[in-house]
Amino acid sequence: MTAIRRAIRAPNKAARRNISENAQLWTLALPAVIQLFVFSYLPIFGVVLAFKKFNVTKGIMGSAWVGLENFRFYFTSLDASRTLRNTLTMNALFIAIGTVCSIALALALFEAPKRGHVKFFQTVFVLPHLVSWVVVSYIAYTLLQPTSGLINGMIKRLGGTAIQWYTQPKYWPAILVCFSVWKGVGMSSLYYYGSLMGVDEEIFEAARLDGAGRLQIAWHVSLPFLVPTITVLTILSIGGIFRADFGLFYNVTMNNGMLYPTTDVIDTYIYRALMKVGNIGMSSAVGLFQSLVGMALVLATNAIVRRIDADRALI
Amino acid sequence: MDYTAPPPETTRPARRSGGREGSSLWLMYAILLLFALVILFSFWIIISVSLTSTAELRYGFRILPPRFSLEAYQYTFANMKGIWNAYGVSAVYALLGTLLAVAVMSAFAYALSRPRFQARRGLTFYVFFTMLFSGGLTPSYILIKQYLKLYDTIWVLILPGLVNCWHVMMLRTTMQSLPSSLYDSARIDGASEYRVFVSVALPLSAPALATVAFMGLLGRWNDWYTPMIYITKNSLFPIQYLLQRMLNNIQEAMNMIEFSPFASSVDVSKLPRENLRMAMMVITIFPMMLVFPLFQRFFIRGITVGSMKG
Amino acid sequence: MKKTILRKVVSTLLATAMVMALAAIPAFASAQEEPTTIIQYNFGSETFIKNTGIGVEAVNELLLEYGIKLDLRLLSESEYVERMNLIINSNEYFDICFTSTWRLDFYQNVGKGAFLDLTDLIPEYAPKITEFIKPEYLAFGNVNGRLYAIPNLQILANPYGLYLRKDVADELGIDMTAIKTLDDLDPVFELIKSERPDLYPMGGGLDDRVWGSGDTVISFYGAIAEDDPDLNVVSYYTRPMYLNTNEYNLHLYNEGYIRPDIASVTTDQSQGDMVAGLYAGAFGDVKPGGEVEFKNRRGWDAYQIKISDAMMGYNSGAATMNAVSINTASPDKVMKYLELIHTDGKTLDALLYGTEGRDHVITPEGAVRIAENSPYFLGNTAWAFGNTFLLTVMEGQDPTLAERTEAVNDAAKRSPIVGFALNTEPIQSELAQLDALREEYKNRVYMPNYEELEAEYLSKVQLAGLDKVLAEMQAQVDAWAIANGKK
Repeated sequence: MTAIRRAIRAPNKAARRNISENAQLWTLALPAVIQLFVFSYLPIFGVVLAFKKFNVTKGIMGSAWVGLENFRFYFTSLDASRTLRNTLTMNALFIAIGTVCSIALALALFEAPKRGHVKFFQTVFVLPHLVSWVVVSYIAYTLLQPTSGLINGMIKRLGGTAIQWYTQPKYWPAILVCFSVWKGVGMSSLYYYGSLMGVDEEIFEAARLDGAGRLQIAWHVSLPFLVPTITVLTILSIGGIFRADFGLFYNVTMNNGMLYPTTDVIDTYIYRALMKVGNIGMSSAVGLFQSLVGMALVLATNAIVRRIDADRALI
Repeated sequence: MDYTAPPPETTRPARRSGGREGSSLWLMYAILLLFALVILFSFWIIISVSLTSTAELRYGFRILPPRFSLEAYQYTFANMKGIWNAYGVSAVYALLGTLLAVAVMSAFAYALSRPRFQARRGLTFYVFFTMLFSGGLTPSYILIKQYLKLYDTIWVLILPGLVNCWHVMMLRTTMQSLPSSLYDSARIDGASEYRVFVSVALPLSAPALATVAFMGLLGRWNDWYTPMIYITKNSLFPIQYLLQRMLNNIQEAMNMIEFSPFASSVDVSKLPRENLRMAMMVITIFPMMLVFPLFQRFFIRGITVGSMKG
Repeated sequence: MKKTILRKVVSTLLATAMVMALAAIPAFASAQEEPTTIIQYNFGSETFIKNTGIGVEAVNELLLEYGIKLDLRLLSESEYVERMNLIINSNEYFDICFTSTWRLDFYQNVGKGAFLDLTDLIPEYAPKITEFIKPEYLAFGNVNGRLYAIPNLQILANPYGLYLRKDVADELGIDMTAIKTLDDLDPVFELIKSERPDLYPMGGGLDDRVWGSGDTVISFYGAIAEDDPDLNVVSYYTRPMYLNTNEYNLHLYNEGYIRPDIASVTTDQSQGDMVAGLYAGAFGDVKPGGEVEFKNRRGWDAYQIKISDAMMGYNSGAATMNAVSINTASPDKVMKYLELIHTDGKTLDALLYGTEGRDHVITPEGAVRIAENSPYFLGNTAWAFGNTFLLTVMEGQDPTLAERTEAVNDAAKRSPIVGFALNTEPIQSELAQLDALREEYKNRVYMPNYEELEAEYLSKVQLAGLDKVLAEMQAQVDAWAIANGKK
């Protein structure tokens, strides 16, 4: 009798536990959900500006609809394909090279035997992240200035001819990648390093006892542990692949027109074009385009990752 | 998902001699040192220029400033009315904001990391969507200024940027990779999800929390744009905003030559320029570098091992 | 017993009521006299921004008799545009703001419906303005025949020339009076180049205004030839002023009169380098009082040399104006205030110079000098506020400055379409692209493959829709001409 009663009651208990568990988790999530709703979702109605001709008195909601007119200016522009291509390729390079470098640094740092050394390196690596792009542009200028720059100085001393850095577009993809890596890699490596700390020391011990060298441990133990993190962060980066880091492309190049063939990206083009015209609808339209494409790419990438290993996916 | 490392068998290499191990250590140190040197050199440029007198600037960068000069720093401090108040504001804003942000985001990330949370996928999409789509500055401005009336308060600096999608995802990934056995045993002991969050997830995610906290602190410390838009009361200006404004005004004043009929309101003849900008950078970075070591103990290997086992 | 208590209570209540009524009288009185507050946005120097509250005490004393109280809100110069844009876009309340062709674009905002139509308000509430601002000048604030902003009178037509540092000129014995044309400059540059190899003769190339061309240039791309009675709009790129400018700048570059890496140098740096003493001179607008300004902004005493005559463009005066918000609650008071700062020197002095003694002092000659530790002084940006010709001169300024400037304005060659405003809406996309291209190819003259780049530029400009832009400009100019009886 009691056995039957217990059998009937059991699923309820599990279900009840599940419900209370979910309720508690909801409570934990609630502050963030509310904050996002108020500060991120409520203002989203502003995207309709992409389809409107803004009038001050009528406000955002009351302004007239103009369909896809605001998109016309960018997509029919001569430079649309160039800026799209530059944005995509540069961001892809940043993601790929940046990730590889951060991981390499994190792995190398993780193997450092002395705490003092680790502290030193971490402190130094974090520094570039603190610097603004405008200051970086000055550092770049010090190095690349045609007549008194340090790099040309070295080239001349070695017997070569000075290169006019700021007017030759072909060097700039590499230059920009260098600066992007310089600025971002230190901070990311910190995060990967932190992730590695989650590995049970015993596993490292076991590997070392088996005679694994540092490189092997790094490759076969540490790296696989990082894969979930790398996957998630990469998918997130792909969401932003159509959005360029304005500060980098505008400041470090000193907004030099001659470099546009390889350094002009969507965001810098819009900024220049709309400075005079100032049409809030047009800038909104391009922003919406960037968001939509980013979203599509993320969902696609996420779906692919989900197929490979469901737990590694972002969503 | 349970974390399991690949079993040692599959990584068993042949026995290595100490010399081989030594050389891979050298390789790693070489990488680290190279990168560190590049960074230090770049920073030397910043510091050197900040210590150059304005008159010497025309000759460009020299490895050692020809005439050591504190001009740029003096100018900054002399022109910074209310500088100490601004430091105070920045500190409160950065600390309070980060504390709140980490609390809210870690709770959220924890919920997202629990496999049995039904709203998990939905909420992940929910937060991720906000990273991609934005209504722009004008709707936010209308919301904050006209409806929420948050302007000219410390809250306008803290609340809007509180939840950062990247940080949430980073925290979620960390919490997800903790061995589920730890969670399960705590739950079996009768602990509520809150309890598990506070006594299991948080301590074990210390490195990630510290990283996110530092990044958040940095972001808030450097933020001059939000105050520019929403703060008009002098007593609430953070330090970065004052510095940026001073610099931008010099720039504007000099730009006026394009429209040369007009006199500028600033006398630019004696103004410091690049050295001022570099000095500002140093002034900004300096406090953050003082703070960083405090966070470091969370991301040095070997410290938390003990607490993990316990 | 009860009756006495009752009487006491009633009498106390009555007494209280009377006292309260008496106390309320002053409140009533001041409530009736309460002046209307006008919110004005403008910009100013850092130190003075915080002190506008005490700074406007002087002007508010004068405004009180008109029932106006000014709430002046100064924004930092570098933030002005961004913050005003937000204020306007979010319909936040204000009454007056600064607008122009270069800071807070006037035409854009009129297009957005941000500014109030003032055409009928002037005769009704501010009739004196037309006495002080000629209709021709007032027209600068027109769009499609309606007035949306009031121009702040100051120099409207700048002769063009260059500034040469005094120390260099004196050292090399250069005779300023002998320099009349660009050709006269070459030997001077040669001299500087050979005698002072540490300097570059000029900081940069020159502007197309140097030719004193009477062409009207519309928004960089369209041009109406000088003395063309039919007002035909043609491509700016075909005009002599364009071609000659390129040719001359190329000449400067080839001869080494400007630095060889000029294509890599930004405007900021260039200005900074001028201050640092890298150049002997710079091209620019010249005008009465120009040397003083050059000294203030570049730190060097300089001679100014005029090369070409002043030409008043079709929107010169639109460079400094004040507009009224469409949401203003008291247009009558706002117009009165605007009338005062454009017609009454006393009001303008009080607004800009503040309180005598604390903010400024009057020198024995009757000029104005900023006081020691003055908390408020807007004298240097008078052009942002009102009619600069009414202002008491500042110490060091020529007392005849206003007259001389007015004379320059009156004598200047005028564009035949003064008062025309281009409606950019139908050609927004094309203009955006053309602007982007112009920015991109800005330094093509200084590149080794200049000819190639020039051809590339011109073909891209065609592809970007130059013809459509020109056609639109022509149509608008024709319409304006018919409406104004010029055709």
